[in-house]
Amino acid sequence: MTNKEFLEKISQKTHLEMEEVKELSSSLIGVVLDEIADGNSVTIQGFGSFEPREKASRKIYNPTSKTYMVVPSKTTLSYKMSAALKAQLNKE
Amino acid sequence: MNEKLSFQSIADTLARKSGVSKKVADTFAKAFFDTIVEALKAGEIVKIKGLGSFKLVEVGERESVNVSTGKRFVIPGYKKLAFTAEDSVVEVLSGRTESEEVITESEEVRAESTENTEIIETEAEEEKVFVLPELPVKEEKPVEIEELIQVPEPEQVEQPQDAFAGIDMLISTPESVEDVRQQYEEAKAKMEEAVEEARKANAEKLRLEKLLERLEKNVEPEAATPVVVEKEIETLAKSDTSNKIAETNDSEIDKNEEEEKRQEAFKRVMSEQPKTEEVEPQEEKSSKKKLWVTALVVLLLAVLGVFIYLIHQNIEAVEKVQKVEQPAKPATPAKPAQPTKPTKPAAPKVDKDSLAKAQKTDSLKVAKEAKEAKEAKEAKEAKEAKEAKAKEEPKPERPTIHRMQRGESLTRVSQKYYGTKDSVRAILRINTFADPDNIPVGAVVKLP
Repeated sequence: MTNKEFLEKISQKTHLEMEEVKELSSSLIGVVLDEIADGNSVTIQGFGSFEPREKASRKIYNPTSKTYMVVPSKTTLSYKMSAALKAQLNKE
Repeated sequence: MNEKLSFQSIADTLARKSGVSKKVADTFAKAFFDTIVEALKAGEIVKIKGLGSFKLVEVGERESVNVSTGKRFVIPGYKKLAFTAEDSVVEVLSGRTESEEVITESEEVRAESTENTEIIETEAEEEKVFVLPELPVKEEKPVEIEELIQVPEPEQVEQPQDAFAGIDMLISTPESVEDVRQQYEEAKAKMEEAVEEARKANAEKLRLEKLLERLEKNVEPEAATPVVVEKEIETLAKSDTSNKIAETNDSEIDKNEEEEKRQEAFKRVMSEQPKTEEVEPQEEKSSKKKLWVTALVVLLLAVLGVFIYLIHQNIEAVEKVQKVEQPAKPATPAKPAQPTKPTKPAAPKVDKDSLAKAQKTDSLKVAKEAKEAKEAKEAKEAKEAKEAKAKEEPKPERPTIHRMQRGESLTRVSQKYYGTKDSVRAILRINTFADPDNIPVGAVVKLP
């Protein structure tokens, strides 16, 4: 499902215009990401929780050029599904 | 920092930021996550711009051990919702751009000295530059064109390579690299000009040729034309190429001989390609009939292929059944072998007849196929029968008694006659030994 299809479905559900849905979804994502960037975790009941996860820097070796590279540490967004969602998805 | 935020607080901040009522923000956020779940249930991958993608992943069942009791148990498989963050999200969270991501670290211990690597790099660049003109030579390769026009050029193809190697040797000293490159580029520009001129001239010639060919075609009988035209094209092509060689020789100077030759070859190809295209339309009338015939033949072949495939499947099925049956009836191996003798001579006759009667009728071919299939079936039956026989034969041949020799043990005997050490127990069951671990030499062992 692409972003567009996804937004269309939401607009059908909420009876909002596509424009509004677009704006709201981007600002919702913005709000969540802001909180994550501050180091907070966001839990959405019945869906799961988002939290920042730090990945340590590591060395990688390129065998063709015979050089070592350093992949710097980074923070990614990790997601863990809620128990309720897991139960729901595995019901069938 | 490190707060745990609930859905409600997110909805509130959303309402505040986007200027929508709390109710709308709440329903929207709910709809947002509900839609994700719904789409996932439908088996889709949900990609959300600016966030990432959600995907359902099956986790297979696995075995684990209960630490306290040491018992093995199976953790059942389940579906997991996997999320992959978008690169932009990672960038934002990490506070940097992707381009800075990887920093190279020179490894001085293992690598050769830096001077060496530099030289290697320059050589590599030269190679890249000179690889480009080689491509036209490769285009020459299509054999059909060469054969049509009959301009053998193996020597000319080889020469450029030799000369090329020489130039590489010259270039390998890093000081002269740029000079040579300049010279090369100048020469290349000249050659390109020459090529365009040659092409223009060639196009005019081709037009004239076309006209000539049409006129001749009108006069001469149809059957003879293609050959004559081809011959003419051959002669014309030769003259063309010689003209071009002259042109290029005028325009090009000293060092780049090998590149000239390449360009010549390229031009020849260029000039030949349009001609061959023009030969085809003349043959169209006859070739149309041929096309129809070939199409028919191809169709027939396809039908035959399907039949063979179906029959083959049937044979396989029959084989399976027979395999099941044969171990049950090992005493009748000779029976299936007999019917093959009468059918084998009969089948070729049918083949000849069918060939003579009608070659293109499908029905007969089908019959032929069926007979061939029967033959194959029977042959296989016979084979299988023989195999079954062969399997049975060694059993009676196997000796029933073994005389123990020095250094032999029962396991070795078992290994010798049955291929495994496991038959020792069977041997022990029908023999009585005072000490099975120490059997005297010359003792007789009954074999099961």
